[in-house]
Amino acid sequence: MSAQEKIAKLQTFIANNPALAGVPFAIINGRQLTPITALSMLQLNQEVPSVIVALATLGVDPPTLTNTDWALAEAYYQDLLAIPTKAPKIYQIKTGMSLEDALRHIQARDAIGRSLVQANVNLLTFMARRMQ
Amino acid sequence: MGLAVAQARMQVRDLSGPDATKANLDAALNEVDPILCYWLGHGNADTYTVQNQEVYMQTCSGDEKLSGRNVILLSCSCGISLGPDMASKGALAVHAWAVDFTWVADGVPPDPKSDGFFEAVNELWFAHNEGVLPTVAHTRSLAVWDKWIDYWVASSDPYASLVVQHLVHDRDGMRLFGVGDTPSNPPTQEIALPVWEMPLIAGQGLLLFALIL
Repeated sequence: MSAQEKIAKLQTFIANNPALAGVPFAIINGRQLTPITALSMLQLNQEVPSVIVALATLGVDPPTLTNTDWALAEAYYQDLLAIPTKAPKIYQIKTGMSLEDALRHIQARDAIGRSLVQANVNLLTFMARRMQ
Repeated sequence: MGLAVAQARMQVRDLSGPDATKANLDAALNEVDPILCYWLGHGNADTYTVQNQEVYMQTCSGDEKLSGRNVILLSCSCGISLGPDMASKGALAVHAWAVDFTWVADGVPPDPKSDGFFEAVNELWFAHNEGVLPTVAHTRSLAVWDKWIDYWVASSDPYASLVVQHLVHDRDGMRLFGVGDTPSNPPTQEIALPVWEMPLIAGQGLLLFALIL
């Protein structure tokens, strides 16, 4: 994600979450960094590399999927496909996707596969919360 | 509560399938001037489309038409940019999804695996119909998502985890933008403000939409 994209994302975040715009989330050279100050520093081209690193902790970048995430999702769908009963489909508005198709998307690591893997990551996070 | 009950409290303009064109929608907005709009169609972070994927509105233009209205925007990922942009341009409240909305089904609705998805979405509409605040509608919908997640977590269906996965995905992707302080319907009156909604009860509507296209 480019610096311009990060600026746009910060602007959207600040506009939509004004109550959170002044919350410090990092410290750079002794200076507290909030979404507002981060935006200002990016726009003024001040300490951009440090600000970008700090912004990563705030989740400004798209979530990174690890090889383990992909492998776990692939294993999950392979397990589903091994169930000897008629399988359901996954739908979006226009299309129904079979579990075989889902597995193919994951193996191809395409955009749909990424979405499926992210959903599986979220399921694991959900499981972790329910474990508490 | 179905569409018929909703119509008892609201004036409903239903545009679906070939009627869901940009021209017809604009005409309905001008004619009815609804306080609640229920949109259903393809979309992405910045764009909402109607029949045959005709672009209706984008983050940069068109969404200002929703100023002064409550909006249910059931369209993939519109909650990333289009929904918040709409709210920043004066929409009262915008219920939208910051993820691609997905569901699991064995077949044509009513389908046990897909029931929870559409009950949760439709709870937004029912709550607005009953005249509660959008913030309350959002909370009520979240409660329905949670109810169905709990149901499927306890299920012995071999595909239950897949249903849970997508319920969690859609629940966590649901967003509410805007001030959210204006109900769509007075709670104590029989006849309410004019309201226009997109086509069908979402559960069946989504699948019908898929079959039409």
